[in-house]
Amino acid sequence: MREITYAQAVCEAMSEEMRRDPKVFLMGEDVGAYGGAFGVSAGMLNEFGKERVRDTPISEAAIMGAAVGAAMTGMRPIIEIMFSDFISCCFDGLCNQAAKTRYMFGGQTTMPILVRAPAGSGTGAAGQHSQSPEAWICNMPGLKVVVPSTPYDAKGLTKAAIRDNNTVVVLEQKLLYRIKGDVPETDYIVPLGEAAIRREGKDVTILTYGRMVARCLEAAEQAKEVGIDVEVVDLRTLVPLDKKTVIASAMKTGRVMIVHEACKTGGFGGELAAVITESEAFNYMDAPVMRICGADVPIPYNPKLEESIVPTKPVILEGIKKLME
Amino acid sequence: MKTTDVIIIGGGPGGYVAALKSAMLGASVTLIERDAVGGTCLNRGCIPTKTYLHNAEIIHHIHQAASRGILLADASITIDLAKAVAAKNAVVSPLVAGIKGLLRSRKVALVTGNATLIGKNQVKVGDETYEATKGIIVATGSSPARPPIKGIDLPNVLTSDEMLNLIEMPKELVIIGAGVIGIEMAQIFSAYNVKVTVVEAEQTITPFIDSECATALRALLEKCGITFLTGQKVTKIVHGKQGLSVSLASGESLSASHVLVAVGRKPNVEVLGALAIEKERGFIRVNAQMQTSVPGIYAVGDVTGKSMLAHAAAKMGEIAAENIMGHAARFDGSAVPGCIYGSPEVGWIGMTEAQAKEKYGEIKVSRFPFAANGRAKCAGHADGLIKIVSEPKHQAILGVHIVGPLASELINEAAALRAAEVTCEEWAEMMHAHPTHAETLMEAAAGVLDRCLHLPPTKA
Amino acid sequence: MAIAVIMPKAGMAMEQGTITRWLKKVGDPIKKGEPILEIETDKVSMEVEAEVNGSLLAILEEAGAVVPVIQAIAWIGTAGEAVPSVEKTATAVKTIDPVKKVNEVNPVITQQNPGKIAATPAAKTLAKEKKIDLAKIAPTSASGVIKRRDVEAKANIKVTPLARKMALEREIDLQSIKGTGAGGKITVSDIEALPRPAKKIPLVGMRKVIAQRLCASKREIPEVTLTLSADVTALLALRTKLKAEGKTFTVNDFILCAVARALSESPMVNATLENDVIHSWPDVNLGVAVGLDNGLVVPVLRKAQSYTLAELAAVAKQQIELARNGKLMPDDFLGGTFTITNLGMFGVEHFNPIINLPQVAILGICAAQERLFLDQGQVKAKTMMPLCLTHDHRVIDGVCGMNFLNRVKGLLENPEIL
Repeated sequence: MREITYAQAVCEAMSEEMRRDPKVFLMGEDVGAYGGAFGVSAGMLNEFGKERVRDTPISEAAIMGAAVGAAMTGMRPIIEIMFSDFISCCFDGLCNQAAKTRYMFGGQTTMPILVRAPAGSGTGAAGQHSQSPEAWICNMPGLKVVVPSTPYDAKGLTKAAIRDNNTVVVLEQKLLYRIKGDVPETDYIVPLGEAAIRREGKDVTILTYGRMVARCLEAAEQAKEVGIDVEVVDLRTLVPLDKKTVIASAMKTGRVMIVHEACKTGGFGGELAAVITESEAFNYMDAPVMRICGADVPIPYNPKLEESIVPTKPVILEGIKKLME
Repeated sequence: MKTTDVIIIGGGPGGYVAALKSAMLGASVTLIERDAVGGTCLNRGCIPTKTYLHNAEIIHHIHQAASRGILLADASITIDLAKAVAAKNAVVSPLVAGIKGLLRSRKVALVTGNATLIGKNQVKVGDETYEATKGIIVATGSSPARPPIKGIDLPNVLTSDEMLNLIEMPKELVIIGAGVIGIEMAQIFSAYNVKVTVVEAEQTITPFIDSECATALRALLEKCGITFLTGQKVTKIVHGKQGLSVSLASGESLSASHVLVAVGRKPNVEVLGALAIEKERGFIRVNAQMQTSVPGIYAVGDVTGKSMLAHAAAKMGEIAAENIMGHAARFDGSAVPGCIYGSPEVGWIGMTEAQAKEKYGEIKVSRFPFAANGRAKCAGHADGLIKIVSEPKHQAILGVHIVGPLASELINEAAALRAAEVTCEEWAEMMHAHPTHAETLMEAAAGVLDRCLHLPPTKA
Repeated sequence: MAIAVIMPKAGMAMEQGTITRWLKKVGDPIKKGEPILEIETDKVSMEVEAEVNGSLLAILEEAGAVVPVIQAIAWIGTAGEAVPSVEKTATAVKTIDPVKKVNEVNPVITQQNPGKIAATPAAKTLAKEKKIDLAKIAPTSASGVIKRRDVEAKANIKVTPLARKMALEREIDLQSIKGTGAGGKITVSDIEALPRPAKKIPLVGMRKVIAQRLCASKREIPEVTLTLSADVTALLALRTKLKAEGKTFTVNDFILCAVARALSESPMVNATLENDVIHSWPDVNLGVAVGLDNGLVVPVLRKAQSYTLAELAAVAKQQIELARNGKLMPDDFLGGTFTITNLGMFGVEHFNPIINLPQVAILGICAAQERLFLDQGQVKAKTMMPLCLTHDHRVIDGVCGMNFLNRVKGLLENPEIL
């Protein structure tokens, strides 16, 4: 199996879909000539030309508005919001138009938009370029939210999202762009709404996604050395949530930890905790659901601070031990 | 002088097992045996007798054959006793070699010779002195006893030792003593078509087993043609018409070509030399840890007089080894199953009905006959019964007594469940394969709770 | 106020700078905007200008010094002003405890639910399923919350079937036993090593009534017991004589008669105390204590003082017989004014009988014994019978009690009460 990077996997997904369906096109800031701020769309302008790989002005609202209009008239736009933090700049188009139009028009039109937004901290890009804003978007009916953690998932989920007739927001993980992984050259999709159990275990369940998956797996390995058997569930899609997998795992272990780098208050972890507590898994919980999340602060610039305010391996391991107490 | 951790005197079931166990627990071991390893059990006891009893079983099958439609052109049987002895030896020798192999595999040093204790941690064998740093185990076993009866040393007045190597077929055999050895020997020679009479001083044969079973056993053996004279003492043996005449206290005389003396066994204590050690009725006295009155010296097996059975000796050997090597272990005499082999077999564990009644007052006894067991009927040997002695409060397994086919195997199930403190209630619920002899145990256990389905209900 | 001149951070990446030369010296007047020194970094050489007007109060670092950025290198202030002391800029970076920062939990609310057992849902579910009482489980977690494993431990106690049955019968909690069998299994010997429970007999019926009455008596009454021995030699002789004449009496009959007579003469002894009122009764209703298999009843012989010895003996015999067979009616026990209890047949030498409320005294009779006495230098044998009178000191003082007792003694020693 050949290995490519997460970024290359996304590129391949977009390219394959654009080859397959002429209605698919890409637009965003610096996606064309520059090849994307993170190099994800490198080479695509060459292959698909200016009409289908469009550099836009620096206006997320305009990009979003154009996407809504294009979608409404039958196109399948992919838009890149250069930093997920800037989604708030196009909130009106995203939430009031893209999310609601299909519903409000009684299905007379669909909104097959893929919104790609690099998210996450760890690059020293500080407060306005490092957020994980999935909670805002999950709370908006009509939008789907996807967070790939591996190159394989990045390609598969992106392709599935492009084929979805609804607006899907993919929060690509900046710090994972360079990681390599096995990615088939074939035309495959990873269906939305399916979690992946990355590691099976019977003592503790960790529900996580994105950049945090790898460190949860590392913490699980360390936990194994002290005799704790940890199950790591990579949610992959946040909306629609794979509740079945989540609840089943919670029932199996009775001890749940939620790990995400987005800040705790109002974060998606709260939703997961409630899903578990409301379900039949409640009667099998042997410890309170534990959330290990980012601190409720803007992402700091100082590298030591930036590292310390998201879940780290020692903190996750401490949490695992505390759940077993 | 040779120094070793543990010295064991005697390589019978008590001694060789103690040697293997000590070595397994990390000791350096020297085993001194004056004859062949395997001791009485392998060479002059258990194994030879069971080998011969199998001959008796084959003969019994031959007798049964015609009635089952298997017609032999010539159903007459002659016994070549010399060949039988040779066949027996062919069973024994590989087993002796096997034990030697096991000892070698655990690096136990095997010394052949007669040992004498010369101190509490020293043993002399010929010119060599051996010193034990951790402990000495005396496992010298026992020998057949010859009671002080006039004529006891006449030719053809034999003990089991000689009897098992006899190549001259007796014409008439009188056996003194209806214990395990007497009963088994009676069956062997009765199968060989020898007229056998067993004389017993007590009022019943095998007085040490549950009396109901002793009675059942006697009836079945008498059906095979063995004559029992109980409550009779032998006063003297003299020469007679067939070679010997055995006089009884009643005045009666029995003619015999051979007499087997099977009145019991005495401990082999010559090993003690001049060492002062406490004895009890001639046997070396030991506590539950197998310790004698001399610190550092242990004794196991027949020489202690406790449960004179090979498996008891082996267990004692293990316990002595464990205690010497620093692990606490103790011997539970109530957990020793007993058997008499032959046809029928007898097996027992725990209390007799009489003993249980004395201790508990209110007891519950359940019986199940082999006549109601399908498997026994298939095999054409449906005589005998299972008897379980229990109590009404907890239905604990107080004792189990079996007369019948495979009793020696079946008693292990009873002994195991009793040791695990399973009660008759659970025993009755355990599914047993059908058709097997062991189902009788399950049915008898159910009977303790008045739930036996395979017998008509007892009238209230 | 003095203002510090600092090594400026003249570039994003600049960490330190070198002072190449000072353009002013200490004491010089300084004008805002004037260059006061030259510095050099690895990229550039530049002049540093004064931020304020004033006098150069002090130079802290000389030319050639390599100084970290932001650190003070001189002071400008009013001429003659004192120079503040300055600390080197701390370069140590405070380490943040990531565990504390990121792992903030919800505020702890002190448990205010007495009677509620803290157990996780998993523990509760399992306990319900296995019919285990959560109140009997000791939590093992540091937080004190009962976890599933605590319930499992109680549900999965390893025990042999026979030992389990024995424990059930003896009401032993298996969790309290350390098993010595294989793998920590509880065996019969572990159960038998425990002390055996007592047989439980509830205090009900007659037993309960007796208990209540005697407690009340002991609680309320300030008792005193007086002991006196009566010489019954003559009485026994008389009894023998009467027997020979065909008139059978027990020693007790004589005692009843004597006591009835004495009581009729002692109004304060033939009394009851009820609600602070002493009732002195004209009739002697004599209670006779009768022992049963598992209790005690006291049938009352009414107007005992009006009977002759023979009549009293007959009544007593009848009542005692009925009492022994449980055939007396409740009324037969009412209205007693005094009680006699005779332990003589048991060999008792002395005892303190308990007063039968609301009576004020009770007489205990002990075993008669032959003793040797000196009577005017002569050794004589007499049969002495101790009498123990317990009286209520609220109503009867010692003298009164003694007088009564002596009267009884006197009557017994002179048994011409026919």
